Amino acid sequence: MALKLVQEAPLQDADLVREAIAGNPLSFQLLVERYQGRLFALARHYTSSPVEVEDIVQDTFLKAYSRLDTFQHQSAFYTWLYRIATNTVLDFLKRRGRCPVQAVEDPELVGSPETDHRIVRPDARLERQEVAEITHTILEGMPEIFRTVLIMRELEDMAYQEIADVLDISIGTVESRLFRARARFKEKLVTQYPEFAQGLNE
Amino acid sequence: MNCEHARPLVPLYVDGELTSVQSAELRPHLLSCPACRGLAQAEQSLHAWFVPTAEIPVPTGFAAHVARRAVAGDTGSKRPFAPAESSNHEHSEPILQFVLHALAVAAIALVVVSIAMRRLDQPAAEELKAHESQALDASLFALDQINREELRAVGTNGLQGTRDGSSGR
Repeated sequence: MALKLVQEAPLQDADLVREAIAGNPLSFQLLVERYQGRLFALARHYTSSPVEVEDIVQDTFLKAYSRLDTFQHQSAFYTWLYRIATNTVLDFLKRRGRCPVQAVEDPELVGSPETDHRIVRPDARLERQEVAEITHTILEGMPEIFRTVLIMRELEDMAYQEIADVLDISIGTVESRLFRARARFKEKLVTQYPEFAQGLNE
Repeated sequence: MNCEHARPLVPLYVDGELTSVQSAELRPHLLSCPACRGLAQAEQSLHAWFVPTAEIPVPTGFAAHVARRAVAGDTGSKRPFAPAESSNHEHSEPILQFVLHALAVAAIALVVVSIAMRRLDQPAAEELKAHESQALDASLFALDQINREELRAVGTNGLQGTRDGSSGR
């Protein structure tokens, strides 16, 4: 019975990584199966095209496999994979050229925006999917430097430290980016959908 | 705590990034300061916008497919990243090539078949000679018949009949 339990216990990521490096393709396939859903959800935050989502996730796993031996086991495998996925997405956005140009306005150089007290809640009549689509549209129009932290924090529910690890920036930078990103998001929301701004300068 | 100190902490408070000590210090200020409380509410209100979009399902066999490509040495990064439009093009290119190849093969086959059919339709040299000679013989035979009839007519009706027969030709 004990042996059976041991046999049925799911293999740890680190074990699968080691086996994959040793040449067991099935181990890597298990890793893909384990995280493909999360990466599809992640890529979906950046594009609504199923073809693009599939391309991003596939590219992420292919890159990961080719660099498996560089995984140091110091962080969780998913954190490592997530970093590759994020870089793949950013690379994808650059190639798509759909992201607003950063060189024109470097967000890091922009001073702190005025504190915005406006409350912008989705209208109760809006369907959940409609809210999601509005948010997606606004995010698509934002510089990737802001979009990335907003997605990580608000949609991926990542802690500041995790965001800092993935983007290889300091926690202070995460804070300031998030602050500016939210201000920008709110500004766009109020400009494009003024009907949702309540309690202006409340 | 005053507003100057409280404001930078509000987003962190809303995100749950403050330590319990920092939170305990900020909370009384938020309760007593409508402006900072309003800021916290405004920050909080944004969260409601971030709801997950409709899922894109993972295609069946995706993991096996990716693992096969990975083991085959595909590193992903070397392949130019194709946006949806190019991706479609990428997918359609082999199909287009296949169609072009198929058309080329079909055209060649058509030429070969038509040549073969023409050869089948064409009589052999002997057949052709036979056909031609038969046709010639027939026409000569017809002419001969006409001449004979004309001579017969001349013999019976005289010159008038011959002239009528000539004009009738």
